[in-house]
Amino acid sequence: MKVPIHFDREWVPELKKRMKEDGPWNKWELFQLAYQAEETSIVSDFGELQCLKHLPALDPFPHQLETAKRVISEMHGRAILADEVGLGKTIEAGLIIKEYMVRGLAKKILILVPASLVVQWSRELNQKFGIPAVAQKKEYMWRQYDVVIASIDTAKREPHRGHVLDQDYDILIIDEAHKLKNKNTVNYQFIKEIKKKYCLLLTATPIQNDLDELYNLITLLKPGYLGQSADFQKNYVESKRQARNHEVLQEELKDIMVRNTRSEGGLFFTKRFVETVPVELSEMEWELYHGVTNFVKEQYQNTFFKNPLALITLQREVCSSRFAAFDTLVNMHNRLPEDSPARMKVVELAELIRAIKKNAKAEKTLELIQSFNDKAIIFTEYRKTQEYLHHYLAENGISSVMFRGGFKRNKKDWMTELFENRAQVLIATEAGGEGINLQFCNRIINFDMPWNPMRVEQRIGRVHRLGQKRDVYIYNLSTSGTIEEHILNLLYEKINMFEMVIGELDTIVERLRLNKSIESNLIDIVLESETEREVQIKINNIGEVIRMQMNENNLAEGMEQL
Amino acid sequence: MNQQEIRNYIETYFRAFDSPFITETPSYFTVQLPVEVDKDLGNRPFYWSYVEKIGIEPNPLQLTFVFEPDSLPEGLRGEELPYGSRRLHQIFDSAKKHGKFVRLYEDTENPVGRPRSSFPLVPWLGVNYKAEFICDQKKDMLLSLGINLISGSVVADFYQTVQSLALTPKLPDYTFTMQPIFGIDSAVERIEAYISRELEQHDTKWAEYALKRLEEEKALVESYYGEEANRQESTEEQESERLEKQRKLLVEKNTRLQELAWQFEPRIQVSALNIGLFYLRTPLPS
Repeated sequence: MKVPIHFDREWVPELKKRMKEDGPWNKWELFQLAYQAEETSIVSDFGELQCLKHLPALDPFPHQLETAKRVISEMHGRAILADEVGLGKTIEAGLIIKEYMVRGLAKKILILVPASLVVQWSRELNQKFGIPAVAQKKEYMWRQYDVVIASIDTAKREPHRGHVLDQDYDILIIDEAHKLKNKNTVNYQFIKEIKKKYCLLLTATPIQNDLDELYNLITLLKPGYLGQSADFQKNYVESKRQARNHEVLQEELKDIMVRNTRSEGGLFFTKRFVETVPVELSEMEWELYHGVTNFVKEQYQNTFFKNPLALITLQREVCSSRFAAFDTLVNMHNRLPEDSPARMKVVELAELIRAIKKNAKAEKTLELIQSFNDKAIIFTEYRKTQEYLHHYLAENGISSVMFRGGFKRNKKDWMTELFENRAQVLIATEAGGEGINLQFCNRIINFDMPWNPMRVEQRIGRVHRLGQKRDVYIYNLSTSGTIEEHILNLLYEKINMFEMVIGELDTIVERLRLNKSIESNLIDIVLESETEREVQIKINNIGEVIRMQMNENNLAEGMEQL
Repeated sequence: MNQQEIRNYIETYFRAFDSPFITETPSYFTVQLPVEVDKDLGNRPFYWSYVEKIGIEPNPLQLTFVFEPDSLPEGLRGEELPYGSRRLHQIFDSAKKHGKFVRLYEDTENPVGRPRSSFPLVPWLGVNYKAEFICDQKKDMLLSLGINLISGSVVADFYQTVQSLALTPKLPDYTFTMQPIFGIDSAVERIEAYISRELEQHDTKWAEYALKRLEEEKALVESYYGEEANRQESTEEQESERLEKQRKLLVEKNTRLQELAWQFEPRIQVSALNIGLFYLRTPLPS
């Protein structure tokens, strides 16, 4: 066959001009250097990945390299990257972008991510891949810069929309692509209109509820690939969540989706040991706990507080430490009418707090840290508890640094460094966010338990991830007889969540929409139940329901097979 | 390129610009940038436009490059230059920019016995090309060709051949240049015809595969949008609304088809890297 050849002749008039004007002529040495520069950077075959030569500092995992290779040579640059959470989809995308750039196949690149991830993406691409990506902030940037990162919500609105739809993108990348599952949404329609050559859709959960979602994602990449929607239904869908013809579908998906899972690699993660550490409250602490619990119930029934959230907060705080509860009590005191009995009650509780001199949980924590004499991260939901622990540990000769959500990037890096080199303990009120590497530590103490399982998962995910070399130990402090104990039972015994590998939980949580339900159910239970016993039974019931749902949900298996 | 090759490369680069070396040790060197290099490497376009506008004395940068970071003197800071670093690419780009057009003369001793007679030099046009084989993937090939502007004959590997000759930018004594018979345009045509013949000899499996792929994918798109259109046909809607939907669908389909052509269509793009007029005494085998 005859392949069309196009010659660039721009240089011809330029040469003629120089001949006519007798110069200027360049130096022979530079002519030779120019040739040499070209010689070292050309790519003389189609197959092999070139980008690593340009990334001396990057050390990707084998599955990431393999994925990049497959996407480029077998999938022709259009694929769903569906690795489980924590296996490095961003790295894979970065490798693919870099490869296309090195080969001169991509210049104009658009990366659409949730607003909260824009900065992180630009940092990773710049630092790890030397890709000059910018976070879109001003309108002119759409055209001025070649590699632009923005959120879909910004991009789809005028005046941005016009700029995006007006240009041709060599690569379009969409992170958290499962949000595009519904083809009738404005976002989906907008993405469909973007003109692109290569396209990567990143998601850890390509199917959340039904198989049509996967069909819709594939249609963005290759319309018609799985036939018409109706054909797809007929051929592959047994019921909403169940696939038929698994093998065939699996075969078809091979050419369009990569899904690396932890279980198949085997090499990725060290072991995880979970230990429940029982704590017995002192008599006075018990008195406070009961006092608060009764107060919360009474006030909920009295409905003085229109928003029961403050009450719930108080209930949760008292499980953490008396200091956490104190501020909330003071606030309530100030809001209650001066002569109300509730206000008297608050004063009583505050007096009780003042009288308490010991903290059973903190003592247990200290004991624990002294016993393993190694670095540890203590997680608490409350700043007051955090400050108290910092102080308490210092009194007992243990150095610690505090870590908070509001910290700027630099401060987070600095705290991480302090923890690594100077301190034994990090006390954190949040999971720290992406990009903070705490893998040098392998022990986590959950001082109090979030009611939202995803938050627990994020905590663990900070240390139990790629790059952790040692087994990971998780200690859950459980105050006997309190709501905390029941919740821990639910998460630990019923949902088995601590045994799950990272990524598994978020798949389940997202699929069953547990996230909202667990937390809001817990709130209802605490507020509505008459007795401790009732609380316990109701929490137990949630656990049963979830377990049934998990068993019924055949999709989980279906996904693994895909 | 390894570190030694990179060091050789950039030293040659700075020497070509007569940049003064301030310190030079096995572990690092510091170099004073001349103005034109600072403009390429300094990352300060505003400074230069300011200097030129105001007409003040420019103050070009000094740069330090480090090759053995472990044995640096205390307090010294410099840049490392791994392959793939942005700085090295800047230097590559600068070399390409300043090494695009040359005019050179072959410089040889006159044969014994005829020391004072004048010798003719034959004009050649030499071009280094990059051929890019593009579909959804890409590979490159360098081609160096020269054409004798008297005889019109084209030779391959021209650059590799002239590299072994002694060349000088000034017309040497006792030589003169012959008047070319071929003009630049016809010379270029001849070279391009030569390249086309050459490239047609190449394996075209990659292009056949890409074309097959393109046809398959096009067929999928056609059938998908065909059925979508039918489906809309059958739903009861207002005529105007239906037409609008059909129009949108057609636009969408065309976008998809254009994308596929863009992604897969096999083509070869040939561009010139650098170009030279060479006046040679040594005859080259054609």
